[in-house]
Amino acid sequence: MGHVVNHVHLKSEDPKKTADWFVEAFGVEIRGDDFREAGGDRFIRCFDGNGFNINISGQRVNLGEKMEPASAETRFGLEHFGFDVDDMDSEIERLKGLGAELREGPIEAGGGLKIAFISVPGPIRIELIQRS
Amino acid sequence: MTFEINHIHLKASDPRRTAEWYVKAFGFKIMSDTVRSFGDRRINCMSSGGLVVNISSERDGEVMAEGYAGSQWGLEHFGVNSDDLQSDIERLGALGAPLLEGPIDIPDGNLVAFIQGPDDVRIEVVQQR
Repeated sequence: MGHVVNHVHLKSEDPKKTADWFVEAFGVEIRGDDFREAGGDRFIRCFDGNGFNINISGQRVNLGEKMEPASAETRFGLEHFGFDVDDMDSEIERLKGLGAELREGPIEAGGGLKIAFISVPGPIRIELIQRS
Repeated sequence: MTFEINHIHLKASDPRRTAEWYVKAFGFKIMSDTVRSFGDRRINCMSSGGLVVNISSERDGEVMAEGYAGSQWGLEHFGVNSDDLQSDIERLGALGAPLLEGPIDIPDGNLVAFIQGPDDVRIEVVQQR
């Protein structure tokens, strides 16, 4: 049986600031901004252009949650997620203007795909994908 | 302008093994399995609902940090829907994914749990209510 991927989840010391960054950078829509009693965390529900859910929340202090540092480097496990772009070069410049750093590329990935990796505030590794 | 998420990407030293785990665990479909010019094996999976999940090994010369299944800042986990959380926790445990946290009954929210998938990926299993 197939299980639907429900969301990706970003954790941030300032979830609203991070959510606002994704609004500006990738046009995500904020549909919920709540304080969760049980965790003591602020929990912001964002959605991409396809209606896919990106949750951004803080530390669950009431549950004694201990946080490890973020990484935008290459790593095993859940490493990055990617956004489609129409114009790679102009998007890289625009996102750099919003505080992102270009990590790699643009690279011709074959099959008419052009890709690049950026580090965005978090830091979080994000891939940009342009189809020709 | 609103952008669309293209995929989420997992890195694994044995991507085929990891992809087959997701096939068994969550019904992902393997769409392609290729060795790319970067020297990595990349398996393109489609999850139910349409989100693409790519699973690949390290590229030539790429230095990889370890995965981490605990709480962390930044990109921490992804969530997968479940019709029956308790039975899925048991099923996934038998597939080698231990329970990390929960089940947690979120007031006015979902019933959720966190498990540790292959390559130290933190996965939330979500029974929606």
